[in-house]
Amino acid sequence: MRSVGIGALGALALALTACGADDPAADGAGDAIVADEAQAEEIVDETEDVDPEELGGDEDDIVLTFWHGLGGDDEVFIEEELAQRYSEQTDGVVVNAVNRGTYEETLDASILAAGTDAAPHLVQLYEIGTGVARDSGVFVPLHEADEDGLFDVDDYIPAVAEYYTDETGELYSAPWNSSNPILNVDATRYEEAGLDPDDPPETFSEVMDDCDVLMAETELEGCFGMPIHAWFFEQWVAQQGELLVDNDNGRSGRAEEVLLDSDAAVTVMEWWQEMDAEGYWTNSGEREDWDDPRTLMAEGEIAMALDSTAGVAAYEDSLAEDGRELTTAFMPIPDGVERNGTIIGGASNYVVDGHSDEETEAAVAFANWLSETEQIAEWHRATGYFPLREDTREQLEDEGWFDEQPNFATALQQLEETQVSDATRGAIVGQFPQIRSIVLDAAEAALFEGQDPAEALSASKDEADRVLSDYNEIVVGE
Amino acid sequence: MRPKPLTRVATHVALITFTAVFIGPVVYAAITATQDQSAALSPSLALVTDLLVNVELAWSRFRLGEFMGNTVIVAVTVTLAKTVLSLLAGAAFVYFRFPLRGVAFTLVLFTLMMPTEVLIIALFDVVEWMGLYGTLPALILPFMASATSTFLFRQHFLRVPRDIVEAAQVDGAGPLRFVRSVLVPLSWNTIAALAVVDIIYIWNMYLWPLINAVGPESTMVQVGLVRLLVDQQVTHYGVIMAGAMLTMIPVLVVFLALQERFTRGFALSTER
Amino acid sequence: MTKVEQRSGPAPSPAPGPSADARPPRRTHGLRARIERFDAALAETHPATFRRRSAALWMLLPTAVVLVVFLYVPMARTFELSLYRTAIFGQQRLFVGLENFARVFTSPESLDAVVRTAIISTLVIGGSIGIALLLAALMNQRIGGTRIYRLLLVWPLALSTAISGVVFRVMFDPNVGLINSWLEPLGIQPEWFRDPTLAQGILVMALIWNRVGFNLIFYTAAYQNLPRETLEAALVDGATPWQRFWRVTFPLLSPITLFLLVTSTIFAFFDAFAIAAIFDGGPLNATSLLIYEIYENAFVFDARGLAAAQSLLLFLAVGALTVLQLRQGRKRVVYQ
Repeated sequence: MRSVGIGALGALALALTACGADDPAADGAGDAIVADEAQAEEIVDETEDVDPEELGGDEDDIVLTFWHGLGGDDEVFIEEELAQRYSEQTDGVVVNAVNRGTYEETLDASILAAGTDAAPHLVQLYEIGTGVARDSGVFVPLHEADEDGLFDVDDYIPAVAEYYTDETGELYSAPWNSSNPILNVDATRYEEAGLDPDDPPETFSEVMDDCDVLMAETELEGCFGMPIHAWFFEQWVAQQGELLVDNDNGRSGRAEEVLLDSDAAVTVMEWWQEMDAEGYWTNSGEREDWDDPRTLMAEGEIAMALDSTAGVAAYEDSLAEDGRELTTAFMPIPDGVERNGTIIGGASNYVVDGHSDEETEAAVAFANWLSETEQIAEWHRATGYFPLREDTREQLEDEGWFDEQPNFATALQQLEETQVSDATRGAIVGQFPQIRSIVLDAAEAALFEGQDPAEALSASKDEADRVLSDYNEIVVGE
Repeated sequence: MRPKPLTRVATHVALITFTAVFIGPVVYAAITATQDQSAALSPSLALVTDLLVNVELAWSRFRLGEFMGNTVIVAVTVTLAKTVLSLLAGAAFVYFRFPLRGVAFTLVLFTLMMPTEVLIIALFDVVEWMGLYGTLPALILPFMASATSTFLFRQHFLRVPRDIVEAAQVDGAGPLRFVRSVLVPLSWNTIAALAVVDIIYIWNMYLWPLINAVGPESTMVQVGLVRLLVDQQVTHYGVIMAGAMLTMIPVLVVFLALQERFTRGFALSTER
Repeated sequence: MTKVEQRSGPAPSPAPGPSADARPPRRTHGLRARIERFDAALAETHPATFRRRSAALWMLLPTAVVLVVFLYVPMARTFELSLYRTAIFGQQRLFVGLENFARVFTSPESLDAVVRTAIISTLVIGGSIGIALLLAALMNQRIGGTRIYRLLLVWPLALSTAISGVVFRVMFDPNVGLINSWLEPLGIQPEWFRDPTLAQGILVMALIWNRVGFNLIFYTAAYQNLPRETLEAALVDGATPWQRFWRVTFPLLSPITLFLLVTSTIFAFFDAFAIAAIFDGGPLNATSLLIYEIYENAFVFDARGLAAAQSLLLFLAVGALTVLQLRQGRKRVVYQ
């Protein structure tokens, strides 16, 4: 009895002291592969406690903390390939790359950690966090931090660079992983229906025409897949050369109005509703269910799927497994408009304010290294995210990469053909995640309840404007 | 008296029907756990031989082993700490007289109505201030004290026969020795009953673990498994279900080991 | 039936503040009376065993620290936050007084959420307790096999609430789910997650499915501790099983029913978050329970002040409900 009591008290003491201390057990457990060691490092919350030697550097090295929101294979690649290699080959700097949850959580954590000892040096933030990140005041614009002039806007594909520039025309954050929407087409199914897979639909009405043929000529009961996601809606508004928010998409001044009742927006929503009503568009009904079109395509229940370029490899693999072939095409656009192009999605890297000049310099250098030709080519091959630079594309071309992977070429070409304008640079606006949710409220009302798209969007506009003015009032404040 | 045969059959039929309905989703999950991706995508109840592949993928590739380790650490630490803290507090309320005892007891009881879930925003701030956000202690410390357990231990101690207490007093035992050598041995059933409830509670936690899961080192298995459903490029249903099956094992083991004590301990503590 | 004798004794000073006694309470109302009796009874049967008050302090301290730091401080902080409009993850804020509360009461969406939560929670509480009681009663017919049934019926409990949600989500998935593949020969393919009512049905089902095992282990334990004499006396009376159940067994089980009512209420209002989150609160907010709205406002929409106000209101509502249950319970619960 005595021993039990003491044991329990011991456990209590352990629990009480567990906070703040490293967990030594984490090191010795099981196969001490590199991954495990990297994770043991992550347990340490205070970045200052990281021992540079364990990250492959020397004792006196600067430990550069890089927070990112990548999961799965992408996470393994940044942490165990890129960050590790940079640490090994760079004198005086080691990089501690740490996943901080989802993109939302990474942004949240970065802003809260700013100014404390736990603040990272460099963080990866998603594109719709741009507004909040800039308003937060915790980041240094890249063009200010980059005293050595490592970054040059002109090195990047314009459609990429333009998203991340601020009013100075220079980069505010360092471009990194970028993607855009692309149409995946089941070529085998197209041929079965007597359609030409090399002539995929370019407009809304062509999608519906092809669907008619596909559903008449094959046993397909649906035809087209796409996640219920506001990103596609935004893309189609931009494709028509229209803005999502006022003040030139928030680029010339603080956005004060969300233009959800524009004709461009209504056109998109009407088509979406029709696609659904006609039974062309198949979906699980769940919001932001990225897996849905991928599964439907793998099962052969649809012949077209609009998805992110980051998913192309998944489509290729699942179709190949079933003996079918994939082709890709630009995202179809509304009828009768000029193709303006797509807005990039993905994320960029921000330099956190409040570190020594030396550390800031090291952070800028690492961000630059990540987007250099060699690394970005590797990153593209591994993840499907865009090669950001013209010369990276040339290098990949010379290596014959796009001959092997024509589907990646499609996406890149779509990006390069984008006409840079305020519409295609994308919106900078506060409360973007909530605005996206409000857009989907309108979509659900139109799709599931049959509400008139213009009415649904108008109601959503009021709601979005209120949310935005609440936000602006606080941020502009005082 | 046993019921009539017809009643018995009818009762069994009813029970078997209910049991089948309840166990159905688990069986479905178990079967899916054996399927490879193509079998899982064309839904069927066909057994495929991929169980071990799926388990291995879930456990290592998708890190559920690590997440499960986290959950077990949290479950064990919280259960132990809760037991010790509540036992001590319960004893203090019974065997001592001190100023404001009634007030203190009321303040403890009041927290019964304060589920962590409604305080989540501020709890996040507190944990952030303490520098614990995204760590395992953030999943442990807030749950180490319990009004329910303190209350139940107090109720239990109130029924410890007076002569046992007096005998210990005659022996000159100090408070801690008294707790250790008198109260603990008398409380195993209550401790076990509460342990079952605690472990189920921790297994079911979701909101706070979700918010606190900022990296693999602080991800509990229930959050990790849901992320498998959401975050993958293509969902591997077989792997997810294999993972789900794995998460059941600890709770079932604890329940089987403690169910008799649960029945007894629970009887003692709720009658009054 | 061992019970601490309650005799008169010196009355200690009463304490202010509300009371929250979630266990079967004694019969007389009022915090003051209760504290008096509590101390009086102790003074009589448990005269201060140990005189060293400092020991009591040390024994209480860990519990006190945890409760204060992780419950009382956050509670105070929630009050504070609820008076602000916040942005940028709470880093910037604007004092708005009671605006957040006013918004909760005036926005039609939030009133919808209240109604929705009330209906779903009631179904979950009633369903999980009712089914557990029915199963426990059936298993207690002395028909054999009880242990096997019980073991199988607790399996869903071993699956955490969130993972139960995952299983149901996959099972009802229109594309890869088993249910629609079974329904295919019948020519119906319900779109479970596009229809608000169907999605709510699945939510309720999944929650009940996950919870019945918990209630069941308490009921079966309670059944095993029922006084044989009382039950057998009823048997001799010649009452029908139905009458016996409602007249004798059910009243004897009432303390545990009250306990399960209180814990199931907490489950239905708070733990239900796990499944609502897996359904993303949709479609058309059909599965967006209040606790999910709080989470969404705080951690997705970056409106922490509003979420804090919603938290306080939900806290008050569930607290009031609990007190109501206990009040009613005090009148109806029969103690052996």
